[in-house]
Amino acid sequence: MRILSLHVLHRKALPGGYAVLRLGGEPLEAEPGQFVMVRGDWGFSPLLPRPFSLALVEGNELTLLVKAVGEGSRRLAAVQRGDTLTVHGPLGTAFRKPERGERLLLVGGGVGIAPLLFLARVAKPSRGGGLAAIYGGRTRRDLPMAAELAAAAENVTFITEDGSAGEKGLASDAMQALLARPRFDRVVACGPWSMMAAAAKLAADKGVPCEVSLEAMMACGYGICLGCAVPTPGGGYLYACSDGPVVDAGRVVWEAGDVEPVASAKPMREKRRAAPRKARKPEGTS
Amino acid sequence: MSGERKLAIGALALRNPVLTASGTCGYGLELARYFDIAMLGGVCTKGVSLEPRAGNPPPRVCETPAGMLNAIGLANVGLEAFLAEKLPKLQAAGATVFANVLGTTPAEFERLARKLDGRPGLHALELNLSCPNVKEGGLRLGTDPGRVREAVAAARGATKLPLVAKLSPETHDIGALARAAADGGADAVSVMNTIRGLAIDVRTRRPRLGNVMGGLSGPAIRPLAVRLVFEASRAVSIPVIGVGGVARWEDAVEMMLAGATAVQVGTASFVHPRAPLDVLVGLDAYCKEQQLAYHDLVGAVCLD
Ligand SMILES: Cc1cc2nc3c(=O)[nH]c(=O)nc-3n(C[C@H](O)[C@H](O)[C@H](O)COP(=O)(O)OP(=O)(O)OC[C@H]3O[C@@H](n4cnc5c(N)ncnc54)[C@H](O)[C@@H]3O)c2cc1C
Ligand code: FES
Repeated sequence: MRILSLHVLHRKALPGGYAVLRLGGEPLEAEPGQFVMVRGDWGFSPLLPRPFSLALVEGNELTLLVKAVGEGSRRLAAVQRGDTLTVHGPLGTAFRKPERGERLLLVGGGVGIAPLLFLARVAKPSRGGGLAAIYGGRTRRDLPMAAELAAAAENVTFITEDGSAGEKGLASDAMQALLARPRFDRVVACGPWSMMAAAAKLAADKGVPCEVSLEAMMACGYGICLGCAVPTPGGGYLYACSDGPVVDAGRVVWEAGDVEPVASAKPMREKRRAAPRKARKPEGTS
Repeated sequence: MSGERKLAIGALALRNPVLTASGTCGYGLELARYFDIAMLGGVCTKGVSLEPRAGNPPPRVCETPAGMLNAIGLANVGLEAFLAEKLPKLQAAGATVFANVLGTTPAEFERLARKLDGRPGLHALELNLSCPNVKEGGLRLGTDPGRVREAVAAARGATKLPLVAKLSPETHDIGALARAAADGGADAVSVMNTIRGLAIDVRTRRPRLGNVMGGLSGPAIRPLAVRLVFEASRAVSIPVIGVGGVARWEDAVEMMLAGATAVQVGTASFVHPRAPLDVLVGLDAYCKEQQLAYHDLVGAVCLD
């Protein structure tokens, strides 16, 4: 892995706070599933670089899909053409290379589509098997790069919680239907924790191997802070940045819940361990 | 470079005054993929305990203004694995290795020191007397001068290796802690460990760390660290290693002017893997330009 100084070649803003960034200037060799730590030249705040999956790497150019959720991602989503970003990578593990004739089912949610898109794009030419995909989001705005996915996979099911695009429901609903019919050799999932947990369970029930790309709060992204711990069966932890982000779904304790606090975190009442015991009733929550 | 005149921790001569801080460089080997770690004054490993530790439940890190909180919980491979797997590789890399060791009682520090004594490839021990993230020992031991003296003395009796005592900032009298460490037989003190902080997500009303509280680090704490280095270096004659928010070479110079003989680069390595080397290169350029040796900077702040 390397530390690159890359220029923003192109930025496409999408509704819903998403942006597709094309960066270039120096070559990077990476495989689908790997990520980069990205930072602008913005002094000490935000301090840490932020992890983003590679949505495509081609020659001297790489593509990122960024959703603005906080200060760091907001700044990244708002970069201008010509801006310079420090990009550290590629980091972490990659998806297993698809074997000849292997039939893959990709299950993506929101920005989780990024690494799956990369996989679909490079897997396609060598495929011979099959490449189906399910892409879920809250609303139609939460399906960024849907057209790119439709072009890269042969059979894509779009599904939204409000039914504003594709079917109405959750990615796991669509997955249940698909797994009932043809046999898939592998499920590859990336998205919100709850979605990956559901995918892991459905795949396990059908006896289909399942790979996931994990998200965790990261400080360093390269194995030195031990911040990105994800609980494993047996009581230990794996480190999302270096043991992952791509791991076999069986290596994760899914019931441990949202280790990824992200935008999907719901307002909590007192039931959580760390909630202040004597806190007054929350005002205006739910 | 002009560092000839005695840059040493006990009997250990240091190549230069830039080290990595424990817990921010793994076992040093992860950084070796980015630069030659033998170029540094020293590599201070992740805290090693007698038994392996899994660490705290996530989330373990979160960002705060110009800094971050961590509650890793001293996850580490344990002494056996450190000796079998990590130390030989560090030795092969030519690094000057400071093993940071974590005990919760003087007896544990003694056992750790005994087991590490005389190991090839190991140059010094840093006693972690002040980790804020473990319930037993840790902070409590590290904020009581009597206990600090006891713990250092226990380790001192078990090894000839140079000993560095890493002190907690959570005291009203850092000078007393530094003196206690020196009395116990420490060859140097590192000032400072992280200071406890708390961050709360206002939407979920949950603490942002699984462990509720965590240690604050990064540029945000540098003025505090510089002040404590200043005070500690006036209280003892053994070297003070300045730790806390050193991210650029200017920060290293500032620490040294305050009284640090050497510095450790910590959180900055998360931001940029080559940060310790960049600090060293900048420091050397500054010394060359000013025609100064490293030791000329130590405690050279102008107060009049
Ligand atoms: C391996 C990996 C790949 C990722 N790929 C993408 C991607 O392709 N596109 C994309 O938009 N996002 C991706 N993310 C998530 C992205 O890193 C976070 O959204 C970003 O770090 C948030 O930073 P911030 O400063 O905007 O938010 P902050 O202000 O730091 O936090 C805002 C919210 O985001 C949460 N958050 C912060 N950091 C992370 C994190 N590392 N993971 C999950 N949640 C976080 C916080 O808990 C908080 O709820 C990925 C994360 C990982 C670990
Ligand atoms: S993010 Fe630092 S170890 Fe994974």
